[in-house]
Amino acid sequence: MPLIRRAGATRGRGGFQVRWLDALIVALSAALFLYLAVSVYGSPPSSVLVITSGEHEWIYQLTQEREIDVPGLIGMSVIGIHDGAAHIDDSPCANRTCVASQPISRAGEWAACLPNGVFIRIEGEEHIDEIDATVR
Amino acid sequence: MRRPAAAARAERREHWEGAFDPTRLALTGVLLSIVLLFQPTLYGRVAMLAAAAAAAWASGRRLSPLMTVFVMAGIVAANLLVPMGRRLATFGPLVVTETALLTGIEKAVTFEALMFISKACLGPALRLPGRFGSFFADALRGYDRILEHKGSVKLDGFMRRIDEILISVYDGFQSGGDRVDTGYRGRPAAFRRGDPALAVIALAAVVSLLIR
Amino acid sequence: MRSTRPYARPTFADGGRRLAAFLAALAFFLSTVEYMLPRPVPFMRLGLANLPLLIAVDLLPFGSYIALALVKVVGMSVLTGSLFSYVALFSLAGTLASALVMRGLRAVAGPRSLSYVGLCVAGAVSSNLAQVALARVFVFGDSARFMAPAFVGLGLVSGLALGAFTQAFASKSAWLAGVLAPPVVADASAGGQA
Repeated sequence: MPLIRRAGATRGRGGFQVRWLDALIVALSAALFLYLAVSVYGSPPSSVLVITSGEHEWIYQLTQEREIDVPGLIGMSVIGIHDGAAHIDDSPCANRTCVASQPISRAGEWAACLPNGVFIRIEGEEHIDEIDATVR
Repeated sequence: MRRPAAAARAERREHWEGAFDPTRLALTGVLLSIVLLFQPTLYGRVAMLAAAAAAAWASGRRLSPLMTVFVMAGIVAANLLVPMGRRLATFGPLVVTETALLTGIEKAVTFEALMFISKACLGPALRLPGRFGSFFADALRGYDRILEHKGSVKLDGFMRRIDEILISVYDGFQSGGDRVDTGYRGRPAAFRRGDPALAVIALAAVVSLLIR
Repeated sequence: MRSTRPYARPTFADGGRRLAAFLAALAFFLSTVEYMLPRPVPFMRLGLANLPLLIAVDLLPFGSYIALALVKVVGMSVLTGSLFSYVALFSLAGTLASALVMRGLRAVAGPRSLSYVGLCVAGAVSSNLAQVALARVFVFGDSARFMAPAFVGLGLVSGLALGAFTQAFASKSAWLAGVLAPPVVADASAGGQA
């Protein structure tokens, strides 16, 4: 029998029985809500790349691939974010040791181009104390 | 104080609807929306927002400046939550960064400018072409008939009231005896005094894409 | 407990076109009614305008059903003047997502195992998820993920409320009984369209 026809027959009684799929859908939605809430609000913020040059500071997410031009003391440093790690891709300095350094990706890791005065570091939840210590 | 404002708005609306052909106005709206989305500079988008807001005001449609400001602030704030670019300022846990701020402003401006373009260029008088258009016209006709029967809808007994309205409107609607010419006519309407203005605006919008 | 085809939709001479247009008119009307009601929270909407679509799941053939969903979006966007805006795009994505999810669920589960409450919750949650996904692309960027839990929660609450309302309406409405009364083929073994 069609739903509405049958429901029409019970008109006036107003009773409503919870059907098993109703319960399942509500339970799944509630579970989805809890899962999203815990994963979004419960987890620590993801690590970010912080670049400093002189007075200025830049902040970028490691999740987004990009190339950043950073003006320094003697010219532009180019910092790239690839595969969740940051690396000094190009530098105006003479010895270019910074370009030869390993990419950094974990909180607390850092790299620098001293001649150009450009400093990059990864900031994240676990290593805040350590970074504070280095800054002091 | 409210009465004169509402009357002035109704007057603007009448004037606006008298000046433009609904179809050509809507087509201009489509063009302006596309131009907005391809606008290369933030300044261009802000200029379009200002012009569209003025047009929406002139069209006599109901606007809510407070809501506009609230929505734009919300979009900018949401974009700031994920910092990106040069640090400009810090307020407690919130870091204001340049790229995130500009992205947020651009999205907020685009969002509201589209809204104003829509408000100014679309009216209930618009008739869509084709089968979908006549289906849509049927639905609007039913809507008008429901509104005629509505009387007062109160929360108390709301469901029964709705049911009564449906019963009283449905039979007449199904028989379709009152079908009037609401459909799209398919041939262009006569010249309206707003047409030159639409042409100039459309041209100006396209030219604005070349300005960098 | 999955019954293959425990109900049949009524058949219409015009493919349900007139009924679809009328349900769209009802949706426009309900959205103006909802506009007048006070809102407890700015983003909290009951979504009364979805009631006709919900009823249509069991009433209209698929073509008219989708036409109803589209006209509801276009009509409400024209009436509120938002047709060319992101709002209309979000509304289109949300409505289509919920329309397809609800229809799909009904295709596998009849009214004996799934009422309007479950249908509506599934529709509301999928609609809100679709809108968050679009909002991520067009408006909020990465920050949209902070809104996802709230939207799913709101979808759950408003879906429960509207589903219960629709269930009560469908069981009490004399109009609906009248629509179904004359030509309905109510034989369970008669089968029906997908």
